[in-house]
Amino acid sequence: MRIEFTLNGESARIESSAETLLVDLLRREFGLSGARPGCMRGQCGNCAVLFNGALTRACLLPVFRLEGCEVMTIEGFLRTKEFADIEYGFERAGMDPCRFCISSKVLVAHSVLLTELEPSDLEIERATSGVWCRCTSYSSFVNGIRYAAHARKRRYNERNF
Amino acid sequence: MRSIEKMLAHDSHFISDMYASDMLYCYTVRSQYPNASISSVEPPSGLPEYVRFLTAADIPGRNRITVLGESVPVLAEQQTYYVGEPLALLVGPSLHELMELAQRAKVGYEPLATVTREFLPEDAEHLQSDFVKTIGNPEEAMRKAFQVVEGEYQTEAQEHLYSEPQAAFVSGDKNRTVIYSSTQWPFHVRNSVCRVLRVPQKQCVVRATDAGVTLDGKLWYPSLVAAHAALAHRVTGRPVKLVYTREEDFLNTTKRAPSHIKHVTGLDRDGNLVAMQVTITLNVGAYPLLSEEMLRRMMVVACGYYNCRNIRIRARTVRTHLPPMNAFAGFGSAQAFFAAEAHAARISEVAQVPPHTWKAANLLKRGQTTLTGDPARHDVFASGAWDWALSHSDFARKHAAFELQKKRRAMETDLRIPARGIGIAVAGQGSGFIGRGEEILGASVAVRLEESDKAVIRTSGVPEDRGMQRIWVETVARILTVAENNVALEVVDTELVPDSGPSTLSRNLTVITPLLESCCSAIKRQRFRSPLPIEIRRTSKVPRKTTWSNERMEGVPFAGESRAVAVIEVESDAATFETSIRGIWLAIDAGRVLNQLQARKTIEMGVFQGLGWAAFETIAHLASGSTWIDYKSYHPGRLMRHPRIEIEFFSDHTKSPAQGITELALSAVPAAYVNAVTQATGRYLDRIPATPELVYQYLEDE
Repeated sequence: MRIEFTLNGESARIESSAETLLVDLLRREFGLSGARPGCMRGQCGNCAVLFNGALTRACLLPVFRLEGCEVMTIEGFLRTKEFADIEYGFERAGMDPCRFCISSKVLVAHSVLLTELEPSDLEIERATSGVWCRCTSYSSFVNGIRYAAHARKRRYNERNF
Repeated sequence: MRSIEKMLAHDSHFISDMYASDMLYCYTVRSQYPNASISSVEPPSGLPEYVRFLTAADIPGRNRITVLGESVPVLAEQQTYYVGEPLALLVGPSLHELMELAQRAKVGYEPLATVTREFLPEDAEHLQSDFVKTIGNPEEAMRKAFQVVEGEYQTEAQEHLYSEPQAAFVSGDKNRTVIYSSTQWPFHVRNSVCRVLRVPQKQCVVRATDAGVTLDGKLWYPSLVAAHAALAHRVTGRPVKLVYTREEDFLNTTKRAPSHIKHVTGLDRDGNLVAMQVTITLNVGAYPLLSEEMLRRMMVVACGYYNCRNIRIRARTVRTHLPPMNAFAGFGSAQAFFAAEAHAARISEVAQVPPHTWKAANLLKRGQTTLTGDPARHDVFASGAWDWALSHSDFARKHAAFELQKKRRAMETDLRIPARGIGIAVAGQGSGFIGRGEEILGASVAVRLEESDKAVIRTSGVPEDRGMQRIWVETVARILTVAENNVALEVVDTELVPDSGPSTLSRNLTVITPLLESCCSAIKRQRFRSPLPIEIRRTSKVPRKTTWSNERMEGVPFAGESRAVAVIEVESDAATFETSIRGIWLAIDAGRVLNQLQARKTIEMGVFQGLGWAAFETIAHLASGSTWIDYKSYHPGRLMRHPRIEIEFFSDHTKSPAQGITELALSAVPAAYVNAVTQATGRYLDRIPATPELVYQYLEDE
């Protein structure tokens, strides 16, 4: 089937079988490898992307769902101002994730801040436990999100004044 | 942190990202039975001509991968010993097609009796190794003991959950095979593949890809995967990619070996130790690779760090029909420490002495004789670690208060009284392989200083994280007085770097880092006498004072050791037994700390890995007994209430070298956690994971 959608801010048009999974499509058709195929059952969180702005596991998303929708992968997210907040937060917390999970951890942090700029411990813990990787100290992940929240609030305040 | 953008810029860090235009995929046909004779292994009917089906008969060399004397078949021939054992390989252009074909492969089985879960210590057929160490006269001392305390402790398997699943990519031509492998031991991959393909070592190159945090899950298994991919490449002459799916990896590769440890301890009238008997049974699954190293390490710490002169330890491995149950960070030490420290808590309860008081009276002090006959070199009291852990956690007061709360709850059955507990454990880590193991394996590294003042580090050591790389770069930059951004690490390629042995047991820190220091010091001495470039290579030597006897288990077992005192405070929901952690305190005695920030992060990661194992990481075994495995229910990412973690570093030696810390928290935290949950719930917990279900089950049993 032919599908048209927005990928990282640009319109994309592809021919694909309807049941192809987004994570495979991104790697095969667009050469975007930031979303990593992990468990392929929506558990490990290593294939995170933003689908219409919301954190989504690309291994669970069949291509036919993309029609008219917006997909943002880590490659596109790197170019946004929101990414700068996350990068600042992670750096300040001394967070040092591995290359395998870093894209998911960035997008998870962003998704937490999308809904709440002062997230509770529980909100952060729920979100962070969605990425399976033993590489990071959870404390630095949680602190990284908190510092990113400060950066984002500061940026919003500067914009408003 | 290096820029995230930079980290994501190159996509060839992982084998799953590698492609070649004429590439083929390789998929493994696996055994469906846990124990069976194999009469035939044949391709599925209607095999397309562009798909190759390879069996053991296609292996030109040796059909074994060998690690320190033990081996595993590359492809099983006459018998299979676990569900998922590789029997054949399918090679073709479509992975999905190969997966379908694998289901239809024709294998003739004659099923045999299966042993999976039960420990059969008296059944010689399943016993693999059996070691005994005795000092003093434990039988006589036990007879004379005022009181005897017994306990049996059980630990479960744990999944390594490394970042990328097991994988290999092989390309090249007739005269040269290039293997990309996600491994902790690149030269083992090279040597294994050369033996399997029967080619000289110079024809085979291994390039290590980003292995991430492996926790020893990529010690030898990558050699097996690389051998499969290399065989497929040799037969087809085309690039071959073999990447396990996460599920395939979970179901078929190694795990932390489950253990059963029995302690029988004799006490005098004051509750102090007079005799200890420990029986360790380690379930190593179908193939006992690395089991001798694991057993000996467990024996060394089987009694914890307690002072007793009458000890008997028996340690044995049992072969079962599970996938190979092997090393997890620490090679079994964590299992032994859990049992020893949970038992110590039990003893103090029986002796009616608070655990910290009992430990203070019975822990080894410097100079007292250890199990292996050498004087104790570490002393958590002298270093200040013990006092810090107790005072910062307010252990003594809290323990007494929680005991009172427990009694009130029992008397008043008032669920509003919080069920709190606090536990303490002392554990340690030996750096490098035990005794002469380091001599057998050896390690070489090289440093080259170029005309441009650029330094290049050459080692096949695969750092688990960028923290280790940073320590190497900082070390070289400091000694050679060059800028850190002028220090580079050579690509881990067996043609370009010397063999530094396996990256495990903190060898990157305790073996490779001192060698780098030695290389740099030599360059510094030569720098103004010889023209640049100067390249110095150093090979590790076992110190002369390391007199270790494997047979007698006597001497100094490790080149260096570190210690941790862990305290954990928990609160357990009185109705559901769900546990939340209120605080974690860790006092670390690990000699010179090269990078405080990195060390702290390493300890924190160990805390979460240890808590996962101790609290909820369960691999369910199928009731049928044929094998496990409930992949769906395994969830290591679950996080209890984000605990406060306080970490402090101590050293009782002013100039002691840096010691390994990777496994410290993993060994100390589980026992401290379980002891805390035991006090909170009032149920004596003797196994991990200590889940709410386990507490409920014990309550029912009562």
